[in-house]
Amino acid sequence: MNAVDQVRGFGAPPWRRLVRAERHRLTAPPAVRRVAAGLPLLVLAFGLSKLFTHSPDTGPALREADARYQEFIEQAARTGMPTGSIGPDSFFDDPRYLMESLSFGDLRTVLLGLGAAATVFGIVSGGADWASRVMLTLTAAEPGRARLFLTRGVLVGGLSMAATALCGLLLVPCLLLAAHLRGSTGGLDSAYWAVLVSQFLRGIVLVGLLALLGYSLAVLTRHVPAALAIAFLYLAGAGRVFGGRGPRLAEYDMDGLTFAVLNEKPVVPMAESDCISGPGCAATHVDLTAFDGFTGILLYLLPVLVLALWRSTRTDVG
Amino acid sequence: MTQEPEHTGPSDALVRFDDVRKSFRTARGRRQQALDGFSMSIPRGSIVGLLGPNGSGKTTALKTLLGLVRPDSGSVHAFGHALPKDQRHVAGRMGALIEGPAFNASLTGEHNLRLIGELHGAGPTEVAEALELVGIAQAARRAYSGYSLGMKQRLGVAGALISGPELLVLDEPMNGLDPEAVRDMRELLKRLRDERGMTVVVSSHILAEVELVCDWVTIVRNGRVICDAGVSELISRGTEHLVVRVHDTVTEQAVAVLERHGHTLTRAAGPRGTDELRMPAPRPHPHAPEVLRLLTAQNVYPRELLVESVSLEDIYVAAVRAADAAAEDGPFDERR
Repeated sequence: MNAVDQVRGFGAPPWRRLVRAERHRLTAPPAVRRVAAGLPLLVLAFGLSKLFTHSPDTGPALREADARYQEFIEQAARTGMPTGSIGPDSFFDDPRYLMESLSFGDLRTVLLGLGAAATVFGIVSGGADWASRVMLTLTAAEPGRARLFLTRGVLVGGLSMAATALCGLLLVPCLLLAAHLRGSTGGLDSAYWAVLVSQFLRGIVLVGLLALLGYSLAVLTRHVPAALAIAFLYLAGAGRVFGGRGPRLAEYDMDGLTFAVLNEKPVVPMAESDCISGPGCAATHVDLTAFDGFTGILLYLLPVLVLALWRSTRTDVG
Repeated sequence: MTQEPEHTGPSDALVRFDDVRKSFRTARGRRQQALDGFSMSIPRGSIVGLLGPNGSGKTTALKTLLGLVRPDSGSVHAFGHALPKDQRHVAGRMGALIEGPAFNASLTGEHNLRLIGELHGAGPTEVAEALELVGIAQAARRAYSGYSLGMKQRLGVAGALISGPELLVLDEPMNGLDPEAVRDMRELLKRLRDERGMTVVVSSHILAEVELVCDWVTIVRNGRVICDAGVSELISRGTEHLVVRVHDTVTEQAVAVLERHGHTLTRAAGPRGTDELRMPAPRPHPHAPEVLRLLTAQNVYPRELLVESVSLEDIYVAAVRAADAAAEDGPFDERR
């Protein structure tokens, strides 16, 4: 193939053209566009809802705490139960939005939601064109199937990460506004911001990996509903398969690993954790670090990724 | 009719399959031979019809050419490149519609075409031109999900044309088209060959259409080529028949006259109290005047005298039957 052929489109498309075409293809379906437009709005709504669910007025909450404390004392006196160090503060449910303590949980909620959405996006992006046989056209135009697979995979992961970054950047100002108007921005020093940014960045990477996992499962099955079902089963059951295979991964399922990525010990020390039960708590309570979490998720992802690449490049199409 | 496959084909072959074999594992785990020593050539600048019953290996052969299926053995060459090794070098030179049109149902026809075109470096001008060429420019902005089968088929052909290919591969392009659209498609394929020098491969079940549009025909049966030749050559090879239709009251008299003069006849009942006497009619002079003279001399006046020409359908049926009969006799390789 000479240069003229290349310009005229003979031969496979060059990288830049392939990436541009695939980016447009992945974002073209109206459903994807609607979700892409809806997610930031949803995140904005979530952030702004803090304005309505919190209040700067602590009076009623203090009075209610006092009342509940009195009730507790009376009950303790009747039953002879020791009250120990329990005071009215123990019954105080602070209605203010305290950015320093609450923002981590809110960011985590958003990141987990985006992670779920990214997994579905990956499945749809990887499986829809197989189901509709568009892949016949694509693989005929781009015979380098590994190139096509990797381009799509990187784009699926990259677009998910970009959407997550945008959503995070929309969320934080909303939380700041809620803290300013309905609570407190106290304690937002450089250490706080470093930890929040670290959690945010880890969340972005996590979302990208989950999108890639969904994409790989869909390419492996070449079927959207099958990939959705298998993704669910895989995420639910792979913990047993990979149990004990990696360092310190013996008893952690995907929930625990995800939680560990978003809440490693330095971020949420065990003593300050509000966990009561569940794998997330297990991850926190045994000091599983974000690194451990990422290692575990990669352990889940890599076999699927390799199998999908093999199926995509080494087996017949159609 | 028995034809030995002409694997050599024309000298300026654009594509060449040599002894290609490909098997698939079925859902029940059995091995199914889709291509079994498949050999054919596609002449440059021609329209080639690929004919064969369902499951004969036509689509598998086309997929092998497009790099979608890897052959177990044998070789495929296109534009002088060995495939699938050099598939990258020929990808943009081939446009294909395989196993029916495949597009995103929620997008418009134009948007779908733009997405394919982008991969080939084609811009809005090329997209508009392709839509115009296949006659669906007026429906370009409608959602693909609302297209009729014929419109989808046309969009599929537009998608195959968007890269400005030298070789157009169309798998059953006439499916779902109404008679007018079939005629348009036929004219389009001829125009592409004549005006752009494009080579076209069409797999089809509509033999009459293939006969009208194709220069070259390849008949496939059980994964191997049983007939591979120019359409006009094939038809000229076939035997035409002279059919004499006479009133059934004079049939015996007519038979006696013609057999006395050395004609070999077959008889069959004709419509409305007539009989048909059929005899081989050698080209270019099927001795119709002589037959007429013999009969009228004996006061036998035929109701009708016609030369029955050979159609591609006759050739196809004869080739398939011959292949089936040969297969029953024993393996092809042993017979050779």
